[in-house]
Amino acid sequence: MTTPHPTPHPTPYTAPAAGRPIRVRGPWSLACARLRADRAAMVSLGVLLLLALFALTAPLWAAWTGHPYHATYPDTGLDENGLPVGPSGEFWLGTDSIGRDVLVRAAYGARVSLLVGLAATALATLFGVAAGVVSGFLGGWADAVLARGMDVVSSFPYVLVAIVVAVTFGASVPLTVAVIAFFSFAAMARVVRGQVLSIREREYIEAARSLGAGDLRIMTVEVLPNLAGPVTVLATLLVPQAIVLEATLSFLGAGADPSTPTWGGMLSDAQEYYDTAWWFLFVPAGLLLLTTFSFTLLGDGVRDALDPRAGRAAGG
Amino acid sequence: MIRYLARRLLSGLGVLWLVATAAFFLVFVAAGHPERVIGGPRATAGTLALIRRNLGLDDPLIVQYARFLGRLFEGDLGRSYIHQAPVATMIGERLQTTAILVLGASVLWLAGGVLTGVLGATRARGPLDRAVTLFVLAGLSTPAFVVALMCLYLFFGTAGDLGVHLFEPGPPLQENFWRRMVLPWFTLAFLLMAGYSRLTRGSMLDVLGEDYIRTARAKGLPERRVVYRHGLRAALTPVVTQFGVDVGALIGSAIVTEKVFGLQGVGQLVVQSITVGDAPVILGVVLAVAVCVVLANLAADLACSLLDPRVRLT
Amino acid sequence: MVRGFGMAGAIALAALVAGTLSACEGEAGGQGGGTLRIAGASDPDHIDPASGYTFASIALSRTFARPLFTTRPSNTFEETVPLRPDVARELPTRENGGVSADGRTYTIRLRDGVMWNTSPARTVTAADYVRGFKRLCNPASPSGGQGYYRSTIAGMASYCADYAEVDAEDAAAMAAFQRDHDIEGLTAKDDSTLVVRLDHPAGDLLNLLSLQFATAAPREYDAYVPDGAEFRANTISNGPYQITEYTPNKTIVLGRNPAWKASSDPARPAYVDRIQITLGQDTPESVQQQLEQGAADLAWDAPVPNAALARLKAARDPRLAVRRSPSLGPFLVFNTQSPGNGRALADRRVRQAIAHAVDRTALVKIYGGPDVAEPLTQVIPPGNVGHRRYDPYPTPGGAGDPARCRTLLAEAGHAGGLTLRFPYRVSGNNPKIAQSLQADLAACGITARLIADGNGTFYGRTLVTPSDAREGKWDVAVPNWTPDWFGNNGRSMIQPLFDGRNYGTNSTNYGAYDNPEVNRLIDEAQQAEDPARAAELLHRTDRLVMDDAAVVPLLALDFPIFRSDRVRDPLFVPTIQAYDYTNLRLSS
Repeated sequence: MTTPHPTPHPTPYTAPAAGRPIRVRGPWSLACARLRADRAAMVSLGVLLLLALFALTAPLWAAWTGHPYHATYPDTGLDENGLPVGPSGEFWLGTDSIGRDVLVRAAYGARVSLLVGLAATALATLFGVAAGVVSGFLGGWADAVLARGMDVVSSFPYVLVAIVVAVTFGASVPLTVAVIAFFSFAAMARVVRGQVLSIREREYIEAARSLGAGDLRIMTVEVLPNLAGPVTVLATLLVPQAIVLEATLSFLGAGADPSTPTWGGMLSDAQEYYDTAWWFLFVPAGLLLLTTFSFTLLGDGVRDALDPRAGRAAGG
Repeated sequence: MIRYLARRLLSGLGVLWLVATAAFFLVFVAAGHPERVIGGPRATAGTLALIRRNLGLDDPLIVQYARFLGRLFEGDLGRSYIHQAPVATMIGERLQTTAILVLGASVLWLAGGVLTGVLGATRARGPLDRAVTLFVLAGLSTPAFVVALMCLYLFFGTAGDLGVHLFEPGPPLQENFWRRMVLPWFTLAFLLMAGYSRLTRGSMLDVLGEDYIRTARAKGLPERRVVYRHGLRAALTPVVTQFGVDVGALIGSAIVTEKVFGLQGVGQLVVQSITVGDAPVILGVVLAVAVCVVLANLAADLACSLLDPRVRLT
Repeated sequence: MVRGFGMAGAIALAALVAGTLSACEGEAGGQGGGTLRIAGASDPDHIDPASGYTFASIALSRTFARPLFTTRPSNTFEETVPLRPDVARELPTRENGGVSADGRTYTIRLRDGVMWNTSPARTVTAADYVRGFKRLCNPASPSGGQGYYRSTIAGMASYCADYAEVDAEDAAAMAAFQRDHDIEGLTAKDDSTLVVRLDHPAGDLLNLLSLQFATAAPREYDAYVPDGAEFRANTISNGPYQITEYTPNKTIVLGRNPAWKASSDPARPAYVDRIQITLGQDTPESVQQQLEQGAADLAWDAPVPNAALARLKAARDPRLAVRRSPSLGPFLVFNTQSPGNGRALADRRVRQAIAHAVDRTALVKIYGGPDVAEPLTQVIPPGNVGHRRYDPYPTPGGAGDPARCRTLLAEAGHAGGLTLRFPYRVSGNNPKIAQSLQADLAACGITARLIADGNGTFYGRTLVTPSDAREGKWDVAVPNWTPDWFGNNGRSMIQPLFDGRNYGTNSTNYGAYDNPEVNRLIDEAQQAEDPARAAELLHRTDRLVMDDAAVVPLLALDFPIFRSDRVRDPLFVPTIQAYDYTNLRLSS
């Protein structure tokens, strides 16, 4: 929600240290050190690595349990009234509404959530940075057009648009990624534009210009590297938002198509059974919360590490 | 001031026109075939062709667009394909529920968010601050429908039977008003409260470091007065701005909340309309939301200039 | 146990609330009176009985628009099939002179004392019924059911063709057209005698006259655009109730019609005083909760949710009933025109192979178990004329035989499997059905690519656009089919689904199946006046269709229905899968 503004460090600086040999450390290695010292962030990173492992090993889980993710087990996976059965030796985390293995589907669902979260963020970052740099650095009509475009995008109720688009073109994972990226890139662009506006007034830009560097060169060589900090921070915070959005769209039936296992889709199915099959609700909900919470904590840690001052100011 | 308002309203109209145009083409590509819903499952091809013609769906898209804009200038949103009723009336009838949902929730989240934010800022790094931070992070990473389902599970389903039974399904605003609305309000507020808490805390910390606060403290004013009278007033500016921005995003959360709790609001109306392809209603809701966003942004900017004399309207 | 206690607590609380409510109404007696509260999601498709074509709108029109004939609501399915007179005095037969010797002229005498709730109240006349038929073809809200009458009543087809040219927004122009043009085969001989002449004999004419389309229209309706907003605010009733309040998608309230006399209406005892329909409750779960807690009495358009169904069945809840409404539930249809997989689906052997792959036991469980759904292996479900068990593709236990499917597929030259495009509806049990079939097909080496679709576009575009079908935009799909009436209903089931001569845009013969022998049998069955003969012909058609594997029937569904504690002696109407609002009592 907030947009942190870490101070960029144009040049490495020397940490004064008494009595010890002076070691020159760049801002990135300093940030890494700070991040390593942040216990919450490190635990989150560990959890995320485990989740990624869970997602990567999805076919293995299917092999161990002997249950492919799409296979239905009407005899053993549903009781005589057609209700899901709970955790047992055969189905470690119970079954879903048509007798499929919840554990295996949750593992495949992790793939979709992580993939959508990362891909949408990457796309949003790419376009957001491009739009922000162009409009902030060039100003004038480019800035005006982009600013107006962002106004329109933010006046659109995006969940509605996502549903309409899904109904028109058929729900699918790539479409979901595109929709999420489209509606998150404006936030990125706004932050980058603000940063660029302040950077371009700095002395070293003046210096570069006086040495005869062109717009393109200044943008790529001088401006972009100094954006790395704030962009990294915002990107880490965009990931959980994208995952939440994907789950919400799948829940509304406008995300991935239902035969692709996703956490949001499972929760949408589970809505009807919240009273009778708790595992069906709690397994995907728990995993989803674990993932987004870890990403948020990690994002917080990254921001603190990159800019300790902003971190203190905005809640960590 | 008048000139500022006029300029803002004019640019708002421009945004609305762009939104209307984009929405029109999106919706008409999407919802091209309402005649089967109107004619019924066994209608013959001739009947369906007739219905299409009556709705003007056979005209070139550009003609339909001109007609749509023309009507819009007269303030007419058109009629629902399915219900025959004017779209404005249909939205109006549903607006009450959504307004109660959103207003009730916004009181909760603004009050809760600002309060926890101020507490966090004044006791920065203390245990209370950490608790608030944890809550903020949870709020930022939880989807609305998960909160809603958990609320149902805890206060209505199996667990609700054991303990506190907090929800009453059914049409809102008629009977059991409080029991019906408490969980939806909480669901909607929980998520947004987190963002506001964080925003208030950050902005409050910034403001408390400013010179005039130091001056106030130096004059010996009581700390309470410094924080709430002088500090909070200025710190609220970004909060109010954010509130204006969030109005548009809110419809998404409102759709989910209305769906899970079965409230008859605008969100449900538009979801139903999308499934049956009732294009005029979809367009109407999109435009209504866009109008709300534009007005909310304007109101937020005006409020900011009242709160903080340093903010100039330009 | 604990949970039982909790529920009891909730019910006690609800009873308290309900108690205070009925105390307010004051008039809820044991025999009659009270307000029937119905909860549901959305408006009926139409309020005008001429164009209403969903279960909800037909249930509504039963209360205020009476057809000439009707069927009896009953909880025993067989009792609901025979026709009975409603506004007609008796069933026309050859013996009573109602049907001419050539079977092409029907003379129908109307009952005395059937009144419109106009002021002053006015008798319903044969001319009002003629007006009702004329309105079916209005260009503003054309009736989906007009096809039945156009192909049967003399002169109706040409009348309708001309009517289509009239300005659809001009009520006066439409009224003038109706005044100046007559349908050749419909005559009001006098105020109480209607004569209907047909193009050819039709064994199901009286069934057609029992549909909600064949209701009378008062002359006041001429002032409004059919089913327009003005019409909806000014409906006129000849039934026991009248619409007193209507807010789109929110509420419909019906009160007693003061002009209605019980003596003139043998079909509707009309015990309750008032019917209040509250709409906009979009989840079936929330409707179900209200019914269980007594905040509402009946569901409008929401089914009993699967989870609730299992719970109620386990608890043997007396308020839950599973009623018979034997329709062709979900069935798998093949796009025989699809160019995909080397036109594999045009090959009967491929379709037969797929018929072996389907696991019906899994589908039965999706719908809640064997007492709700039974496997269906031929097109005509039990309880319909022409039904006889026939299973040309048996599998062990009905659970599918992937190995046999693979063998047959290999014999047809597709050992490498197939890839099929499978659009499915996102509502209700449809996603589960689609995913279950997807798993069955996968076991046979067939990849089904699921494509999400809305209910409206599924029936309105995806399945009924021939150019899309020829391009292979879909290969298989699972629609449902409910006949408009039971009994002699070949015209409402076999014919629309399999008559190859009707294929085109918006045809319900979705897969473009065309077999000349089937077409011939359909014609013969339709004109057969002897029900036994019609049954034999329809069964033979069914066998041909099944041998060709034009479709794979999956399930015959029964209908779980729930009522609140207050509802006493409700009677079921299988054609609309609802209890009859005019035939139940409320206890205080």
